[in-house]
Amino acid sequence: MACRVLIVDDSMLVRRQVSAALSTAGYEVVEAVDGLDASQKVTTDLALIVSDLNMPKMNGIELLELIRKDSRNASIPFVMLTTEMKPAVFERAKELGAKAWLLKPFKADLFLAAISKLAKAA
Amino acid sequence: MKVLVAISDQKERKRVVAILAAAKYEAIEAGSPVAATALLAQVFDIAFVDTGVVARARGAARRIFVIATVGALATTSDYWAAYSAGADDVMKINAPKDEVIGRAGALCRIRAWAAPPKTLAERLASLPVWATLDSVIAAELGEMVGDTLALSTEPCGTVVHASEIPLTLTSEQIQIRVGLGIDQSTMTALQRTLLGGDTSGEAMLDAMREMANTAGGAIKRAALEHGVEFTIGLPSNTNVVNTTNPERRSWTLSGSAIALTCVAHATSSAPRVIVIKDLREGMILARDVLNSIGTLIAPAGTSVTRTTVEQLARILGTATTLEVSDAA
Repeated sequence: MACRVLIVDDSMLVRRQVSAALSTAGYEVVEAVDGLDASQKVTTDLALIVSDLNMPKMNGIELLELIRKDSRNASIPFVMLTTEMKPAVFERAKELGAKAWLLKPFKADLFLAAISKLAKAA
Repeated sequence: MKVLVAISDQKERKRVVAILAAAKYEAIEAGSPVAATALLAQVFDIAFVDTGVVARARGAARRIFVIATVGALATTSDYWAAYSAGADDVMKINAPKDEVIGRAGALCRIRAWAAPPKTLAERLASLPVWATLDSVIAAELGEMVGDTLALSTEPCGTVVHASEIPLTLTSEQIQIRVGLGIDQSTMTALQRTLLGGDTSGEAMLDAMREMANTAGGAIKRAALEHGVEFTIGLPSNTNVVNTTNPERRSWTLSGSAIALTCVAHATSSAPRVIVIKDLREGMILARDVLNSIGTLIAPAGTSVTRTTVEQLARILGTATTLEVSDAA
């Protein structure tokens, strides 16, 4: 069974690029357009969540906080994929257990190498 | 801070210079009224002088704080004479070290308050990333589109799609909006390279927003290297490429198949007070928001989302006021 990865980004372009890379590597991809949308698509069988930071309605940190409040989902690895670096937010993400902070624009091979180490086995 | 010490009593002068130098002031010594007058052609923040030199110091440099030194047995009339001559403060000789530093420090604080506010152009000039925006954006977008982008002033064609990203520096009350514009031929090239042949307008507008977002992220990271932290708002397809704002930089990025018009323009982003019910997505919180027992709910610099608005309204009520900057 393929590992399911939830990709959360308000940019269709980024969702497409990430989805294409993950699909090629054999992952099953679920897409969400912002944190609020993602909160309704989080399921316990997810192998990984890859989320943007700045999004309308609910940002990546707010989504991570929400996920960590639910013990059923608390162990899903969470990766921030963003254009920016904000020290205080980076520290907050680490406190909440985010596994990685990746920068956009991303290179597919490096991105997949990181994801394969972090995703939970199916 | 630069301090002139023109006290005629040599022992006291040397003592005050040593105290100030140890406290990291740039202390310059003048041994006579003539030397003091000559030195006052330079810019000093504070001058320690004899009462007899106060009027000369005041006349030579309008924007200087003058501390008159009086004898250890000075009376009220001596103080009055010093103040009448134009002294801002009066200090007895042989004052303890902490008093000398305390008086200098107090005047430095007043000087900082009294300084005229910097213009937006002056604030931008002291912001290293403002001068290097073009190369920062060229490198990052070049990586995104898989091309080497060269900088030029050659205009590209008529802009058919544009996007922008706001970056706010609350501490300096500066907002920079970075706009990107593309012409028809670049649009075709980007549809091929970025969108895999998708020719829908929605996909193109989304790609433009992501390019602006990428440029904003690169600027933010570059500024962080200088210890400056911007807050990024959400990208939009508003067209700022044609702005006539005087605080504006513009250039063209050209690759093998694409040309991007880039504009960065800055405005003053003084915070304003609003009630929570008027809070909108994309606004930037200008101050930490605390609840009634002082617990931090949202830090200054937070880019407001719908969830933030709901959370603040739930905890503080919709009528509570907040200071925000507009970033969206």
